Amino acid sequence: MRVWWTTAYYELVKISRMRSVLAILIGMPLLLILLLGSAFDTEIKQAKVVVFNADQGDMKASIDTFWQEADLGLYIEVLQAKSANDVQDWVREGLADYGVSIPSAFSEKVRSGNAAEWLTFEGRYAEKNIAAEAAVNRYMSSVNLQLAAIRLMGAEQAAEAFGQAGTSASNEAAIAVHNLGMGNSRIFGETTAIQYYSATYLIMFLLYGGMTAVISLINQRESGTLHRLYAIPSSFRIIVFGIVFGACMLAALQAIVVILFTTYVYDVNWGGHYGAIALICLLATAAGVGLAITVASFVHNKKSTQTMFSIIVLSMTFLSGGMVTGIENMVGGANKLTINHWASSTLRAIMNGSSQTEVWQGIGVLSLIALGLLIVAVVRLPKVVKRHA
Amino acid sequence: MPSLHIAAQLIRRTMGSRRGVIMNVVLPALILSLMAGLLTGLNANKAIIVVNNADQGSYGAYLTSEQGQMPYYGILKDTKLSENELKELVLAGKADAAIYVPSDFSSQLLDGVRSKPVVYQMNEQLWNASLAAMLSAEVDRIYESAELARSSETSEVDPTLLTALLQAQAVPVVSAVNKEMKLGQIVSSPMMIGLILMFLMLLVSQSIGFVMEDRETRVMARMYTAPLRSMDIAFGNFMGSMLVGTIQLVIFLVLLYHVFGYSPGISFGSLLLVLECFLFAAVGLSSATAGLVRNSNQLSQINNLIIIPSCLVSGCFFPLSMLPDFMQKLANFTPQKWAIQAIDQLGGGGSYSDIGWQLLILLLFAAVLITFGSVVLRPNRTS
Repeated sequence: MRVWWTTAYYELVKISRMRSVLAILIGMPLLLILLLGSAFDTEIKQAKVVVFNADQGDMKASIDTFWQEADLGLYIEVLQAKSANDVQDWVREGLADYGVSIPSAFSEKVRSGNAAEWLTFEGRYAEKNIAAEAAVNRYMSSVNLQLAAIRLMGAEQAAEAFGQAGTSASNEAAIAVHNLGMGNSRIFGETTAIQYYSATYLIMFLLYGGMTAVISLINQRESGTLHRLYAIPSSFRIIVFGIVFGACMLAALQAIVVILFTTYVYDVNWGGHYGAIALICLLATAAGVGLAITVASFVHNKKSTQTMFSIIVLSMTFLSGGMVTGIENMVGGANKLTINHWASSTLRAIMNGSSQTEVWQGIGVLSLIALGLLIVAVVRLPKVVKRHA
Repeated sequence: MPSLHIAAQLIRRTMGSRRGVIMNVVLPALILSLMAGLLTGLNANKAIIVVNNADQGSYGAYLTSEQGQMPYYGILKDTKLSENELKELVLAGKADAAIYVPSDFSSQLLDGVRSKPVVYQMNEQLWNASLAAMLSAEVDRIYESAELARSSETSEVDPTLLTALLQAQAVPVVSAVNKEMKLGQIVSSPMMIGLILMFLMLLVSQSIGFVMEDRETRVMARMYTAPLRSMDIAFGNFMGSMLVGTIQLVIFLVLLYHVFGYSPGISFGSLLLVLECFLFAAVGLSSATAGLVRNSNQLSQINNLIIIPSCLVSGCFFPLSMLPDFMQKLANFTPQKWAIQAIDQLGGGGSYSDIGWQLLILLLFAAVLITFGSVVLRPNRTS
């Protein structure tokens, strides 16, 4: 027991001296979570509409008021351009998502009863175009209604009718909108983007923890120091286990830092149940170690182990939807074969307060995977730690 | 021409071995082809909206006719599905939104009572919030028309006047005309180009890593036994890194244009030109990074910390506009952003004069960073 503890302790000391490794292991997940979480957060981002109103006629004031009111709404933000060319340039350069240019003769044409037009410039993003177009259409239909009334009823009667209609107009909502989804967004299920990526990248980096352990073993084997430990009157397996355990403690530290940092700095709600979360982290780390030892037992040298393991972990993350969300539905169930899927979906289940059975089911599958990998790892371990096995 | 030999050696070391070919050429090509396959599957999925106009009268039709004109939606109209069936469709993910116009819409309209059309959606997003706003404006307009047609004495709606009003509006006097602007596709779907930029940076950082290794093991210092000047060595290493990147770049672009059939709307030559400028900046960035660390092992780690996050921030994988404003400003400090913008401009029909500014920025990046990094490319006292 003491031997095991000593090896584990010195392993930790060794790791703590590699400052840059530590910074990457802890800084990288936090950075990725921040970047992806804020890029894909589901808060509605307003469409920026650049407007240039060249009209000098009697409708100028009403048009300006219309855009001021639109700016107050939730969906668009209005920017004022200095010239008609600016409008196009801003849209082309991406400073604005949509451009509207109102020609100088607009009021005049409307007054004389001719067809009058606004020029609009669609930007790159369909949904922002839709938002801007909805605003433009609102103005157009109200003007068209007035013009139709004037034409059919005569100017005086129309004005009178508008006066009456104005008084009877209610503020009642015109349509009923029902949101059927539970959470904010379909792609992230019931969690927010930052919760989703916190779970995903915590798991990915815990799996990498397994690689740290194996690299340490291989380094010691290649430099020959591992075999000198046979001289110690104690079980060799215990020592190897100590080295692996040291790396697992690093993973635990990583998990604690990531969870605390995301909770207090990014405001991520992990859903309480810290016991279950710790269990999932432990199982993911165990599975990572098992996988890394298995990989190392087949490819032997350090560089190939690193490459192979990285490829496996990155593709598992990709398949389980950690990089492009929604990919898990397109791969025909291959996502269910990954460790990441079971670990992160169970973490997400905890976050959104799903039933206990769902959580424990996930943990069950995860522990089966971890157990399986660990058994293979124990069988293959001699290939990794012995020089001429 | 001793520099040429140094450059050739660098190429041999990065791409000469089986491992090098697999890691630097085959694997990126595989990932690119996978992405090309996925992207063609993902493109052009318009939001599907199912509309059922169950209105017994004729006025509901004025409401639903408007929605059909939007080019962004795929509209399925006049289905005979009940309100509940529409709801099920949305829940099952077969439709992105559903609109149901109730059967008493017209009759209630004449009575001045609101019978509300219903929109079903999974959750509120910009596009469907706008759809709802548009629909609600249409409903308001129809009610307003009805109020106009209501006689003040009898409080009865004159149906002929109402129909005339609605029909008059169906041929609008004022309208918005969309002026087609040729915009590039790269800024809004940067994945392919973004991946190429990332692989280029990874490869360049690897070849700079080899140079670093030479310096550590003092191979570089031993080179002086041959009649070489330090300029020759620095230039050779620089040229080698550029050539390694160029070879990979040409392989990728040939694959992209001729095998995947992906076309960003730019000629092969101009894309290569922009990416070469980017390559300069990438070599600069990588050598400047190398100047910050002590050995090649640390370099590969610190590179991960720089390359992947900077690709995320600069809009290599998803449009820049999705990021918060301060991160969009941060993106100005990454060379990837300017490369993507230049390619986008070219794709939108821009000429070389339009992208002069972007290319200049890329070359400035290169100049500044290479000055920092030139220490690494030359033999020096190993610290």
